Amino acid sequence: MATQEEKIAALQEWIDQSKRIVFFGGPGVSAESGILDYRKDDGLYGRRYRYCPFVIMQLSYFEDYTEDFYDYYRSHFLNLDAKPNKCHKYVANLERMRKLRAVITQSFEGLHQQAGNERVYELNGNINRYYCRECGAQFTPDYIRNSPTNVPHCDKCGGVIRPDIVMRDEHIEYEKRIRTEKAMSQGDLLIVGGINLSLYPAASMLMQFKGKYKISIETGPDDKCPGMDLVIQGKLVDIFGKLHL
Amino acid sequence: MTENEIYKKLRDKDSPYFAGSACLLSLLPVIKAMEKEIPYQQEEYKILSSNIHKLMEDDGVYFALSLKQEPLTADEWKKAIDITWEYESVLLALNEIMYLLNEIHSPLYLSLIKEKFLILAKLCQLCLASFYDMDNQPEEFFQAGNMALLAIRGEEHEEL
Repeated sequence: MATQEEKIAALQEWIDQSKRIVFFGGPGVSAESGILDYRKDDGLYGRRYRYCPFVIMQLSYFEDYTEDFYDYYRSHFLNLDAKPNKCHKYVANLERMRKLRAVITQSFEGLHQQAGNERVYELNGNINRYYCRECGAQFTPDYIRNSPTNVPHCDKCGGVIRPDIVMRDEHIEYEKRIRTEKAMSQGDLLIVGGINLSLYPAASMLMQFKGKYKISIETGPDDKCPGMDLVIQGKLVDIFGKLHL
Repeated sequence: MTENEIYKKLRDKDSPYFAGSACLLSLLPVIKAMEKEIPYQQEEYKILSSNIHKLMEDDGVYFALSLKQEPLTADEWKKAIDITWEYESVLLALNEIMYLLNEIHSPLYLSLIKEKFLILAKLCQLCLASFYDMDNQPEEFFQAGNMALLAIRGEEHEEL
């Protein structure tokens, strides 16, 4: 049984050898920047909102209870003060070092871009982008913040504005999935972090990987990554903090 | 510089916008049209357009460096390597777009992008061939060159 140090040393060796690394991150990456995973009901939500966040973050809920949706959304996502953590920064440095093929992320807070990554494939969209459901006009978070009404409306057509994220009952766009799978297929090392890869669509993405090694960093009991060459358990910031470029 | 000014420079052999840059320039309206018709990640189109602009400025320098008879200086190699990476980024993005266009059955855009991709790939390969033939390449060049060639092939992962 390899020790934690030996596993990290193996990860370091594979990073050193690789030229097209793919980093596939999930909610566990954002969690280490202090962002709560809305999919995990910690028991507090039910006291303040009609339903748990798992239900609120659905398109059907957005359509039926738009006011409620924005109540929740504004308090949890609109004024996020999260900063990229060591994991985001390390992955951004991999791109600067020309060793990264892609960041594929299930998170939607844009922290990888904030850290400096350009090759980011956002499976679930980005909370820093908004668009009008009627005319498609795009808006910034400031527009939403400064909206005189709780539910923001388009200044061109009056339509309701929504965040550019993939909600619980929506599918990832076909085009997005295809291009992400292509990027995945071109990687030579896959590092998975803070994610449950036993669920669709993450599981199907994994099948596209044709490279040499697959490594998973499991941050908690919800992270499940079957079929990996190496599994390291622990906090991402601790593990990436021990790696060098 | 406006696009009209760039067009004038495309005919000027002494201009850095000569030749390959024409192909790069002609990509911009295609990408602009795709932004509307094939919406994916607007950010990504913006990044690609910005990389194309950068490569347009550098492509002539790249070509000139590849023609040099005397050994390249350290600064010249640095420039050549940087531009090789610029090529890699653009070719990789175009390759990915072609894959997408093929999957969503968009033959018009696919043929437009493919035509330009082939010209750029050829130009990049020609310059790279000269650089590989030189004697004093720094180690970093091989990494950039290999990755650019891989982007040209657009294949799934393979051992370099």
